[in-house]
Amino acid sequence: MNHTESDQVAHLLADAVQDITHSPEELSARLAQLKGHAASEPAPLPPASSLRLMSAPASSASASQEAAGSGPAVYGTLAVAAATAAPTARDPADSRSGLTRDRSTPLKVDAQRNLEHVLRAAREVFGELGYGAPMEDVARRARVGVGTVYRRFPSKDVLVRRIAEEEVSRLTDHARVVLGQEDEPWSALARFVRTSVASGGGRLIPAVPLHDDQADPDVEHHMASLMEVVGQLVHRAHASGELRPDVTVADVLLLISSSPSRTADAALQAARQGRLLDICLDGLRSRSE
Amino acid sequence: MSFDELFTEGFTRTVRTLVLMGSDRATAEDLAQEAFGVALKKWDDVGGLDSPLAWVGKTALTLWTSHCRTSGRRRSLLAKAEPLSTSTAPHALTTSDQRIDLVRALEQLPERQRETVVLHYILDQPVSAIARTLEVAEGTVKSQLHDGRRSLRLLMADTDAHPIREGGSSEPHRK
Repeated sequence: MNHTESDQVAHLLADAVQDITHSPEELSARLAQLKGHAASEPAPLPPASSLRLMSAPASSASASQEAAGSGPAVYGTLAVAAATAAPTARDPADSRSGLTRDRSTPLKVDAQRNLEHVLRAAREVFGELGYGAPMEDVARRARVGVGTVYRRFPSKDVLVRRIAEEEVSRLTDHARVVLGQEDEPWSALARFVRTSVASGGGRLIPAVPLHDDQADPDVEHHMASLMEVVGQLVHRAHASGELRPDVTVADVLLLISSSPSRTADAALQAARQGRLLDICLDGLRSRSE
Repeated sequence: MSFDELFTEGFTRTVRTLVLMGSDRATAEDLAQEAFGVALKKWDDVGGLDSPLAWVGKTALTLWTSHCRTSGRRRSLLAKAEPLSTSTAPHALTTSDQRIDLVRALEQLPERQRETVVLHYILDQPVSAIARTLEVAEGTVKSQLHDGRRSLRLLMADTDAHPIREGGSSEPHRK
């Protein structure tokens, strides 16, 4: 073997990834999580509204910790979300070991709350970055360790299905309400589209048809219900002559699932989204007059 | 070696291995964590191997392959990358530019060759451990390392941005 050549390749490869390092603190926190006894819970989240407005000021404790640069910065990898998300440095107490939880017992109150944080964070992160976003981003947004996420959801796939199911059935309920409340067919359809986009739920509709052969029957079932109810909205708008005859249920779902990606500025976001929807909805209307 | 030692010593290397296979860092960390999780569950068996880290590395690579298959994100890193030929002067290359070039070069190697190269040079596994883990003969591992090195050298020389071109910068080696 040619050693010079071998060394050169080794250097070349090593150089390219030399910036990837993990602090001893991060390693031991990850190890603790793997072994299932990183039991501490995250600090209570600020209300959802301030999380959504990403410009909410950091809490003073986290801010000073970040400013001092001395925070444990557990899982401090680069990610799109990190730039806009609430402060993520975890309290040092978080990495201490604690009780081991018997997984067969019902979730304790704090664990239940934890789960809700994860689900909410997953909705936000997947809504912003798509279902391809890593678990790391979800954990960071939920302010828990990635191990905590994996304890609840053994794989990302399980979490994705859970979110997809929840969002699809939420949209279905919403469509039913609109169908019942709004008599005027076009207003009903437009209202459904606008609120679905505004809630962020539209972006969480799994691609139709669901990716490859591994379609999940539960998600499919929920999708079928959604399409059925939205179908009624579409049908009514067709019948009243207000909706272009060639527009299908799939078009409507496509529209609400392809809203522009989120920006940090909520007002700008709303303005851009509103503008786009005006144009799109106008495009769906019949040109009779 | 205890599991803790294995994890502490091997986590970063496993992440680096996946990054060189084309993963972004955060996904690589997820998958590495998952691979160590599997190793922990099967520690009775895995702990007894000559090289548990080679086993973890192989598991992480398998997870990566299946991640690519299900998410269709295989080319994500490359899709974001600038075209190579127009890249800036060699000395201006940052680590991540180098990485993009290298990942791109590695992607042109046959899968087994690429696995063998990263397991050996990044995960730091000896030829014997790689042979056992991939269930091939040691001679096969050696020849794959040899071919992989040669192709890499050609590919990287071809980018004109890296110093490795000893003896073989003539042929463009690109599809």
